[in-house]
Amino acid sequence: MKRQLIAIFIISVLFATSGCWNRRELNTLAIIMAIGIDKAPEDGKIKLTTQVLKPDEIKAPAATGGQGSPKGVWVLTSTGHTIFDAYRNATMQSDRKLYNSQTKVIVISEEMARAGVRPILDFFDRDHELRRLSWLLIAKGEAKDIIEAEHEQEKIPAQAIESLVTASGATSMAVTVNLHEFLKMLANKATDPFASRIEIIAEEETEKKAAKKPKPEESQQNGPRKRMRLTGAAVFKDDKLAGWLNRPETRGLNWILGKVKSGIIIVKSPKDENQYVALEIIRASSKIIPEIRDGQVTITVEVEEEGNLGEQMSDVDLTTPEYFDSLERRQATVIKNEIAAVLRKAQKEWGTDIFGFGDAIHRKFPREWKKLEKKWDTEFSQIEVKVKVISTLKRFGLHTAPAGTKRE
Amino acid sequence: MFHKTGQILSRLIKQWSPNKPRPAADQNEPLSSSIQVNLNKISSVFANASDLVIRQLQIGTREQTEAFVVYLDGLVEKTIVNDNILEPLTLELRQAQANGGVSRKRVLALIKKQVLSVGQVKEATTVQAVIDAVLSGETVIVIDGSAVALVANTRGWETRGVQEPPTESVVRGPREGFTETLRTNTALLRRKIKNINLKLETMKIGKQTKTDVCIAYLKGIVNDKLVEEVKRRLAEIDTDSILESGYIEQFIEDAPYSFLPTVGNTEKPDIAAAKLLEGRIVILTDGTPFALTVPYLFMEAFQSSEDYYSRPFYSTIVRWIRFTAFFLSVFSPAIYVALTTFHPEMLPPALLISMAAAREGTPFPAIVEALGMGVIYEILREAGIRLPKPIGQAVSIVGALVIGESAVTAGLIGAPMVIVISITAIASFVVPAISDVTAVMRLILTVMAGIFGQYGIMMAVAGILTHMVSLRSLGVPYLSPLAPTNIPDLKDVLIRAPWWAMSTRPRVIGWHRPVRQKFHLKPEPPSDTNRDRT
Repeated sequence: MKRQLIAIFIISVLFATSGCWNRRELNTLAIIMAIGIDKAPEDGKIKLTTQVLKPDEIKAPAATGGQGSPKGVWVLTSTGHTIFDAYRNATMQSDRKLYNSQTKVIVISEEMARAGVRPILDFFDRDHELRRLSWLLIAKGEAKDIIEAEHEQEKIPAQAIESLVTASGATSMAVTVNLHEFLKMLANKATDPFASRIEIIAEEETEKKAAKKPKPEESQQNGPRKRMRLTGAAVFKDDKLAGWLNRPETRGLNWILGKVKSGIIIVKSPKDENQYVALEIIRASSKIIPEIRDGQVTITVEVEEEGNLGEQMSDVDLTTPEYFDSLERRQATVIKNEIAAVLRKAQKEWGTDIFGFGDAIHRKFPREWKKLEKKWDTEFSQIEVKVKVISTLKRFGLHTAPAGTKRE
Repeated sequence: MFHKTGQILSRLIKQWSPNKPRPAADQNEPLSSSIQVNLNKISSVFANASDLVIRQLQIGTREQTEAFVVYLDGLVEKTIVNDNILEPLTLELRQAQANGGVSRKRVLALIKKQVLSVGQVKEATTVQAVIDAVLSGETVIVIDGSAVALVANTRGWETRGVQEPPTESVVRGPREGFTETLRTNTALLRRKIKNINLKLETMKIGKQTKTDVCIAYLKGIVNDKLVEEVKRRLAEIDTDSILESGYIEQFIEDAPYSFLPTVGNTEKPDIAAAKLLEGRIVILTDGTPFALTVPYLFMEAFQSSEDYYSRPFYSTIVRWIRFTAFFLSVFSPAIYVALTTFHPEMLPPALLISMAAAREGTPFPAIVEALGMGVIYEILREAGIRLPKPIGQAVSIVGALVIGESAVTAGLIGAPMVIVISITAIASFVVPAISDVTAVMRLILTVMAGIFGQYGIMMAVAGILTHMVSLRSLGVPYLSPLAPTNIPDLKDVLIRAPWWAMSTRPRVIGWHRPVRQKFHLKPEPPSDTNRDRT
């Protein structure tokens, strides 16, 4: 009898400890794919733009009879004093409960970023629904434009943005930062955060350059179609946007962080200075080695890179040892220049340690770091950074000389 | 918990049923030496039995002796009765008497030893014994002046031949199956195991039906205590009728309140023989082709006789496919319900989008869909089994159309749910031995998933596993050799080791003599040194 009572007790406890319990059918949820955060026209308010999935549109592929690509999402805008407030206000327009767990992308407008992102990100850090794997992007301009922009290949623009971010390894000219990484950098006093930068390029511009013909009616009806593009990185000083890195500078940042996966390095042909040679990055790694001598901090950034000859436009066989040596040197120079560019901006212009130099010092010289920590903001701009690039060329593809040219 | 309810139930039943002992068999008296008395008694006992044949005759020449032969028409082989009993009694006895002359007192012994040319002749001294013998198809000879009757085995009735059983079909392996006749079945076993250690002990169970039940085991390999325990449990059965081995199963199983079977069954002699050789006990019941095997472990459901006849590699893969199918069949509706109603965040986005698209516009919650489709599937299955075959096909076509196509296009049910239920149904056929168990587990899990999500699934799994490890089949842990783990035995559970590597029997059951064959039996080509010599 006693044992049975205990068993019943244990089982009933199980039923009571199910934790946060909420039954929601899929068709009662408004699944958010992307979030954009702007400053509202009203004073001190926040404008929240959400991209909500329309499952019905995605279900029937061209069932309605190809009237262009049906939009798979619905863009919903609401305002509020805080993010949470804006979320709840959105439910006055949406009949379904906004559901955050599948959010792929969070876009913050330049204006908001300049004012500081810490107040904004609190909600995303606190709320249990949001996952910290969402990509964080800073919009050049309005975030709403990004969320509203369409994509030719994807019915769900948020997925397109996600693919842009994850595929950026092909050039290594963009950074991939998710909410978790960003919050980690923000929490770290020594390191300043950075995020991807995204911007709108109006279709008109590119269209006009290509052909003067007017597009079919639909584009005229909808106004100029918008396209988005990843362009470099946004660099923060503490939680405030300090400035932008262009694409080579962004790759410089990736070199230092050892995050370069692939990409093309363009150098001039050693034979013919008017022709270009494309070198494909196969693998790269980096080491940040801090040193303290007589209280002077020096950082050595060691980048090792291995590339292949991917393409050349000059009419000579470049696969000789001499040319290869020369190409390797040119390759190293390009890498050095990219690193130098980002170092100059970060150290001299903004004084933001986005490279984690402070962390490296902390790890190697914990005692000295305690003294250094307080004045690191100013110290960072002063330290000497040596860049060492070891770059090699390995293979040259399927043929040696371009067709019809002779080996020298 | 179950024991308590069991006690209460059995007490209730006791109060209900009249506790009076049944009237004792009034025929338990000895046979009389007067033939008339015996005749009257037997014919009164068998009153209104139109199939009873009583053939009265006078035997011998000098001293005409009254005698009668009694049997049930239809249960005996008529040629035997005519050629080997009636003819010798009437003709040969006369010759024997003419030659030497036999006193009336010795006539019985003479008949038994010299006259009857039947394989098995016994003596019966009570009326009850005579009745039992007649009822089981034997022919009884009663002679005037003798209180002992002769019982000749003349059993022979219309039976179904040995056919391929429909339940356990194989591609490779013997195709014969048990029949409804106990003797045929024991013969099938004997033909597999030609060994004096194969013991076949028969007992009669069922006060009305008096069904022959045979306990088969291999002495020396089986654990004798298990045999004693089985006999004890069988002896305790005090019921009217045993029409199928399922009756016995429910009287002797270890966990009557569990949805898991602790007694196995098979329709194939080769499987039964294999179980015997592993040290299990097989219970054959007259009147059914299904033999019971004990102890029965959960893992036996995943073993098929064909695993052992084909080569080990594919057998191992198939075994894992069965495990996979079992898990699919048990878990897929529950996981689908849990994911769509409680944890959409766990789905990869692409999958979520297509699932959300499918759920769009469907009127019922996922749990209702899952349970409803489950019920409809069970209805279809049941209809398919019970109906005559030609109509059964029509039912399956209608079912497939209605459920597969129309329900989805009408927007009543989401397409993924149809897929989930179909997978579930097909997968449960892969492990047919426990398809009823999977249905129950599936129901529990789906309901729990519908209420608590994944947490509910975990609760149900924990509960079911706790129950499973607490089960015993004749004292053998139900989940062994997995829990408690017995590593040597895993060679026939997680994989199917080649025969030369299966040197020991399952230890938990065949602990008595675990070694089945020599070690190092792996076939090898002759070594190089040998080749040099030749």
